[in-house]
Amino acid sequence: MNNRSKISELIGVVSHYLKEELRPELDGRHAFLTLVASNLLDSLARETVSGDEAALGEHARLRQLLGVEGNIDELNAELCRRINRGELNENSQDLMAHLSATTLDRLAIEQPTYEAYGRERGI
Amino acid sequence: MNAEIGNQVLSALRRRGLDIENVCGMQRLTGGAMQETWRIETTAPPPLDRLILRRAPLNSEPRLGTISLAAQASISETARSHGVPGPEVIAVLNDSDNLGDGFLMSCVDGETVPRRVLKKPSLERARAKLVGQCGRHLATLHDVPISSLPVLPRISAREKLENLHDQYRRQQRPRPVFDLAFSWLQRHLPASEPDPYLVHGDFRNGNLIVDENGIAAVLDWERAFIGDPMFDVGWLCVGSWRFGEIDLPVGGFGSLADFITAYEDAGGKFDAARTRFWEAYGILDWGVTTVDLAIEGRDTQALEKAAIGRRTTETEIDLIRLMRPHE
Repeated sequence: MNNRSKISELIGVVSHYLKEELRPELDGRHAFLTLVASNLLDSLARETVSGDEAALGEHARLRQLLGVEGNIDELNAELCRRINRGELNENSQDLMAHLSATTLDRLAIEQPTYEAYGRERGI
Repeated sequence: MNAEIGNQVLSALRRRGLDIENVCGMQRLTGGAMQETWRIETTAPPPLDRLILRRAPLNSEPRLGTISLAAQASISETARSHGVPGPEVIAVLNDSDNLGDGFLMSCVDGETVPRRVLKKPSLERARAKLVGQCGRHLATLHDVPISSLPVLPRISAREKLENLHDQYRRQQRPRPVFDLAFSWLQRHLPASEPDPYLVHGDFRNGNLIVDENGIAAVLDWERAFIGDPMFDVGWLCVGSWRFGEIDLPVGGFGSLADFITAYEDAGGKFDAARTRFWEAYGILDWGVTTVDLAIEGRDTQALEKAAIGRRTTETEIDLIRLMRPHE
């Protein structure tokens, strides 16, 4: 088992404790915040496992779409510039495919229960 | 602090000729980072036995783009007199009350937590009425004469968009989906500025009190302005306010067709293109706001706000779905 899965599993243990053991003992605001904390930890566990892969995919697509080299921040800034200059818009299938893939990879980590995510992934 | 606020509330009511002996319970309700909401139980007979205090702490300035609590109370009362359900305003606070800017109102029973509004079994029959009531109440409130209202900011679509763009630029966190959305909105700005009406500004599940008969009160006029009434319709359709009911575009309550019928039956003039513009604007507005809240949450170690940063991408997928050309 690699280190990342171990970290992710441990985060899961803490999250489970907050949600299943601590939360029933609390009322009102703190019961609610315990759930918020547990959900946030779950997303960090997913980040640990698939965050790097999502970023690699985004970076590769950006290089392909823009045809230039640079780190991910530089390329995203360049993409924003091209959008703002009107060189790319929603009628570009390549742009929309990139934005959609990038957003869905992030949603898989941050908010996989959001209904539009399942709808887009066809699940 | 509770006892002090309680005593000041009693004094404030006494100054208005409402003599109440005692406060017997106080509870701070959640919601509102800048504004406080308190539920106060008193020894008085109904309806003064349960009061709601909404106030901004002393010496705080209203947030950018929001109006004073005194103005909110005044609009709520005026809208109520035209038939928009709302709590009865009992007293608008002034300097001698020493409670900050705010007002006291009657307590309306019902549910405000969005997912419970959409799921609670006891509200099943009420839910069927919500989309029609949204149409009727929005048409009514859009028709409130501007001359009967306090002075409100008059904001065009272009100004709204420019203000939001400034807010986004200040963050200095480029997100290509947001840049594309700004570009889309600039290209889809309404050709001519529609006639100005009262706009609620935050009409959605979460700001409505719902009981067995449907909408019992419309709350939170903080973001009211004078402008395009289709703002309220577009905002109500924002994906994040559907709370999981993705196929019921109007607030998670019902279909756009049912909404339009009710809105037009009550005298409203619906416009599809402007509604779509404001829906896109609304998604982007909420998306940019989640980034600000996340930054604020991390700076102040506030968990709930910090966690909202994990919701920015849900606005991005909704923007992509809205902008994607249809085959």
